[in-house]
Amino acid sequence: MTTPACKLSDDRIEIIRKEVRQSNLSLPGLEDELIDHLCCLVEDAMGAGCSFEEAYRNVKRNIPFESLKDIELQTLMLIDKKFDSMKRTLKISGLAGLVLVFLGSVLRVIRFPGGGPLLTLGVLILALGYLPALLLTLKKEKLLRRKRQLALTGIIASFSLLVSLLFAQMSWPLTGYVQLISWLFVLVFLVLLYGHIIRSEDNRVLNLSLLLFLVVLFLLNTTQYLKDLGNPKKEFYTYETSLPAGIRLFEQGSSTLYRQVSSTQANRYTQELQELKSRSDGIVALTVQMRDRLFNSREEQSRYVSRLFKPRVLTEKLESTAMQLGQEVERYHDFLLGLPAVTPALRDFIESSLRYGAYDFNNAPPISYNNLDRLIRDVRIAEYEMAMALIYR
Amino acid sequence: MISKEILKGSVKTIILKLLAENEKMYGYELTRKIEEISGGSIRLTFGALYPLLHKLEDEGDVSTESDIVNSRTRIYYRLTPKGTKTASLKIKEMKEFTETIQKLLQ
Repeated sequence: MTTPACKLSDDRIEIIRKEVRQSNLSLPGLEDELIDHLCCLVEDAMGAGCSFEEAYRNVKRNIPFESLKDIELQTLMLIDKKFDSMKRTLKISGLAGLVLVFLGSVLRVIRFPGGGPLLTLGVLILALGYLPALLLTLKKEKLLRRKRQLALTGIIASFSLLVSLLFAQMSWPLTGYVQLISWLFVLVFLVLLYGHIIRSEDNRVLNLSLLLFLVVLFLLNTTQYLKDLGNPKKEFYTYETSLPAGIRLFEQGSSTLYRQVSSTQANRYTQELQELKSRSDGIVALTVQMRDRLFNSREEQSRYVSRLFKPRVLTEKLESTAMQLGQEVERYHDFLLGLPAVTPALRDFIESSLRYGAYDFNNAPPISYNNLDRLIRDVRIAEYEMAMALIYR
Repeated sequence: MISKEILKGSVKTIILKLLAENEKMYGYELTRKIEEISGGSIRLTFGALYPLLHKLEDEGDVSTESDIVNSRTRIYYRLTPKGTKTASLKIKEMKEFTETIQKLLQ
């Protein structure tokens, strides 16, 4: 039998045992036989005249201890068919999910058909295929034992981020709350990760740099999110219930004013008032025409928001005329500012609202729909205020 | 040194052959024996040896027993009756293969 001539003392065996145990091997018997094998190699080298330190250093150079975990993984893959298929599932679902999410997002950004289903499928594959496979693989590799909290929080945070991405991309209701919950999970994960890095001595600088990068990403996203939260203009999908009433109110107000002027026949700005009415009606008619080509009613708009797979046809209808409306708005803005009797308050309103940049006519259909109604409201406000100024000042 | 690619399909047969000739052997012993017989041409790495030994155990070709030697646990491998049959089959196969290769290379 081949047995090394030199025998290691118990304390030296303990040194080797301690280092091997850091690999956290879980396969029965493997740790013992690797320790024995390494001890034999060291004894062999010592038998050839090396000191323990030199022999041990040489053995570690030839067999890096970091690779011991890989040996266990190779063994697991060979003997456990389930583990092997789990690893395959992990790779395939990860790759397929990422490709589908990327493609789906791109298609949605350029408003091409199929973006929604692809994105949903990608997120479902990642959430129901990749993440569970990752969890099982980590459990199998016993990596969860040492970093249980960290791994579980990381997986939950990833899962909730994926769900929030799906909600945001599909414009589903309650997106804000889902995002908020996902960011809370991410925050918990980052705190745990920080604690883990501080406790661990390996690659601390690199890990801290990565953590810093994640924190910056987190802050950038949450700051934007919180900013959006306080900004009423970001309430894209919830229709302002006061809009139709506001539009009606100012339309009625203007009609009353025009009636008064036509009955008295004594206003020096009659011509301007007529042009104001005609231009305002013109731009409102164009806007209504565009708005109704998007959705027949507000109810239809709401139904569209809650639909899982959104039809493409709507955006195309809008894109062709969005530029024309933009130009009309600019012309209307210049016309209003050119009228006499513009008060400073009215000038501010016209400057800030009735500009092409103040509305987005080329966004997702429900957003555009709301913005078109906001434009109608602002036109009617400006018309009313301007008529008031022309008649009474 | 014999390349990994050529060695890959033969390691199982080599290990089974050695276990067939010896009552029981442990990991280090197997690697030394192979190195010795091959004149240093074949050196088995950890990554090649232990996954294979565990697979042979999983398939029921070898059984293990542990013993405390020099204050550490040593795992010995020995052929099971099934493993003995597998060993003779694999050795026969390998012999036929090497003969064919020899003919082809002459």
